[in-house]
Amino acid sequence: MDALVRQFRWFVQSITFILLSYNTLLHGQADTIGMYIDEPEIIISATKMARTQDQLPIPVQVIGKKEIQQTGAMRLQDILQQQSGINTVSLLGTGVQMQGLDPDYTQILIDGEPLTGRSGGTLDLSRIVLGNVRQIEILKGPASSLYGSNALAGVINIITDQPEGKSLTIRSLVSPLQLPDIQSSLQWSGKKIKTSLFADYLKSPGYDLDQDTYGKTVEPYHQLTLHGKFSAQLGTYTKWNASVRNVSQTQWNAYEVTAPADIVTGNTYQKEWLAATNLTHFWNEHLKHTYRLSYTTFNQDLLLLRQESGNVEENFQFYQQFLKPEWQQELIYRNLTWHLGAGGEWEEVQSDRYEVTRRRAHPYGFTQLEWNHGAWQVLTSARYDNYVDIASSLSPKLSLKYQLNKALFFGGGWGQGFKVPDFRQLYLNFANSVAGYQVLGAVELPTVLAALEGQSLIDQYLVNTSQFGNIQPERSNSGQFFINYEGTNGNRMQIQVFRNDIRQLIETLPVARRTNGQLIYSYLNLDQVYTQGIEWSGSLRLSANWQLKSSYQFLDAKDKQVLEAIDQGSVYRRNPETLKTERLTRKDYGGLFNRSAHQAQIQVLFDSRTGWQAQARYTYRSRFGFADLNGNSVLDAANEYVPGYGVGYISLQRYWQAWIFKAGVDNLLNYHNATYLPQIAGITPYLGFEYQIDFHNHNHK
Amino acid sequence: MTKNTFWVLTLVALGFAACKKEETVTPSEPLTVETINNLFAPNDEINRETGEIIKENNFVKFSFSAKDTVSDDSWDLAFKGTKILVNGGTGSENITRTGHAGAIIKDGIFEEMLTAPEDSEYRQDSGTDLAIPTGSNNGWYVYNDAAYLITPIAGKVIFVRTHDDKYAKVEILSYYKDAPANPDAFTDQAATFTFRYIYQEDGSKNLQ
Repeated sequence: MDALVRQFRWFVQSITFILLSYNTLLHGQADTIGMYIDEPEIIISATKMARTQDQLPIPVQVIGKKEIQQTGAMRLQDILQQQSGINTVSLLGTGVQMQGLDPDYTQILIDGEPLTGRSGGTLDLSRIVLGNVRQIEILKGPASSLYGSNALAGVINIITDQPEGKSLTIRSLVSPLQLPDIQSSLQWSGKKIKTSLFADYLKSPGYDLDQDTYGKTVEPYHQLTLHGKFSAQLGTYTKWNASVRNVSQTQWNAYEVTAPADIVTGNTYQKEWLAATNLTHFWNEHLKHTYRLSYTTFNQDLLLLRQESGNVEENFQFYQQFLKPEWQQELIYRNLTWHLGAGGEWEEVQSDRYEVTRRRAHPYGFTQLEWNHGAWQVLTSARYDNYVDIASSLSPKLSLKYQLNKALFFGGGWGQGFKVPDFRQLYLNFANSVAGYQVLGAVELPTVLAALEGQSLIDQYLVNTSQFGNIQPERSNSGQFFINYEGTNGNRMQIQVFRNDIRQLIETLPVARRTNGQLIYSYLNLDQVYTQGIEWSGSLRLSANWQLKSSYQFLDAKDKQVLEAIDQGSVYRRNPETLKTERLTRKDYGGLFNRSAHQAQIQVLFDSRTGWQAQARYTYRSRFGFADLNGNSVLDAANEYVPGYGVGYISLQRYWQAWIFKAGVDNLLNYHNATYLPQIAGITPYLGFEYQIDFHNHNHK
Repeated sequence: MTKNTFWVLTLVALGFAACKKEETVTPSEPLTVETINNLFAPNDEINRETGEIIKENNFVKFSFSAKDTVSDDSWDLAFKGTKILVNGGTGSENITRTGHAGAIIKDGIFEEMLTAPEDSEYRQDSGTDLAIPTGSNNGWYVYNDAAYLITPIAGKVIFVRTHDDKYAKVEILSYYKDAPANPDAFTDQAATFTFRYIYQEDGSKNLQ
């Protein structure tokens, strides 16, 4: 393994500025796509190859450029917040919850390459600006059979604009939250060589939803995003793509502490690099090879000082790098397409909270078969990830679709996903001397405990010690079924049923108590949970100008051990009025925290076809549990829920020559909840424009 | 604090449903469930800025046979803040343990648990390891750090062997004055116990 690590390192060092790139097929086909709503989108995430939705037996939700432009959304979380079936969750950054599963279970990709740098499992969506995003592909359900670990709940792939033509676009948006956001995008392309450079600068004063507490809900921050892309046609059959992306963010922090009373302030700096390149070559009309290489780094630097005493409150550095070479072959023969791929992932983390620099490397291989036969479409794939110190994983997936007639088809699938324990869960060695506790990764745990045991510092073990040092990947078994109706003229409807069973879920819990009473926490495979639900979405064209869209998700997410304990009659609660202790029934159990049973969205779109566009959107989310209050660790009492809420959006756009003007209001009804939903800012009006200079002398987009 | 003004005794007859069984061989009278309301046992006063103890308070000693707080060594349980001591074993607290008391927490419903556990199961205080452990989700209560609330865990029944080898079972119902349905950590008086118990004075383990 060390040899492999060294090899990879050498590789990294020798290629300093590798460029990133993306799928060539997308490029070729995407040019023909216009700005109209009903054009079929090219989807890459489902197969790692460009396909349209009707070529796929898997439903993929696509948020296109037009939809992004019609809102005031500047960052990824802004647009995902408006989708039903997706929740944004605010914990150490804003993450995404899909099919009722936490942010750690969704893989976030930019042009197919994974981003690194998660805090407590959450990849902060605010790192992704939308200015150069062509479309967002949301693939729900397990995708480990192509993407490996972390894609257990699904994949969100951010596809950015391909370089094309010669133009300069300047865009700006001003709102109380964005003072201002300025973007520019330069495209300079010839016939064979195409380049683009995107830059975005966002400065935000933050916002304060609770005036009574010191500090703002979201403190001021500024962020600079640079993204350069390059592609070259090397002969008729070979194409080379490369790209580099850099995001740097400075986030202010300010809060109050007690004992002794003081004010803590300081900055969090974050820097991220993503460099990737790929080469595609057609050997003949049947055989195509793609070589990909991506390198990502994430750097976080936090220094917080107490103002009065001048003492250091927190000083934390974190550095992660990730390298991924991959090779893929696509072989087309009649109605069969066969993919074969292999690659490796090398990862390194340095942090104050780890004893030493931690690394891991592992190779993987995957295969995929697409078969179209009459009304049937079959897509089957499998991936094998060969880990060294953790159990290896085989992730199969099978999807089928049957076309009943021109408008109606149905399908389903089954797949297995997995998530390996992350570095934090394996290697963390962190003691909070102020609050008096210690957190140890699963690998660190046995050695540290043995040392403490030797010094007679362990008072009591709180769990069976035979479980220590034996952490396993979390594994899922998932199934889904869908029916699709694709009418003419943009009328469509889809119903999808899903179920995910997850076992060996990793939980944080106290494992031992020291003689001084302090608790030691660690990570263990414990829970078994399931999430299941129904998703419905529909689109109705009311007239040439008006369109109505709506969607709905019902979700049921529960802990199987809790259900078992309820059936055994060993979960209790006290009636707050009579003070009588009673047994919990299945009906009383509200399931996992932070999950809403119902989510719905309705949207009205207007397009005059003469340059005016407008939309109004309303999203609703039913009540969800935030914490246990009555002491049984289970969601059951009415006061353990945050009440249901709705958020309204309205926007207007005017296309005029080379200009686009935009105005709108987000959160029209000014819903806010500082404690439980800090990621939702209050009512936010905005104004923006876009101006495009086309160096080819025809001004229309 | 005038300790005795806060508590009120309530007598509840248990087992009306069992009346039909009067002809059976064991016609023992069901024991009465006693409820103690608002036993105020404040913690030491602490300077929140520095963490220093400004005023140390005494443990409030309770005796099952007296059905009341006591000041001598005949106590069974002693309360201060979230800490509950038994009159048996050793400890660093400023209190004298002369008795033979012990305790064990069991999961279940108070009314359904009819017999005291075997003697071997009772624990005594031993240094910082208390028979009734302190700490959130460790013994009888859970602490919510968002609402700053102490909530007694439902389904936790504390079996007590008294200082003079009698048996009792206890269920703590509330940590706030007058046992409000929705306590507020900022307005309701804390460290004010409401609990109910059944005490068997004949020395048997029958707690029916």
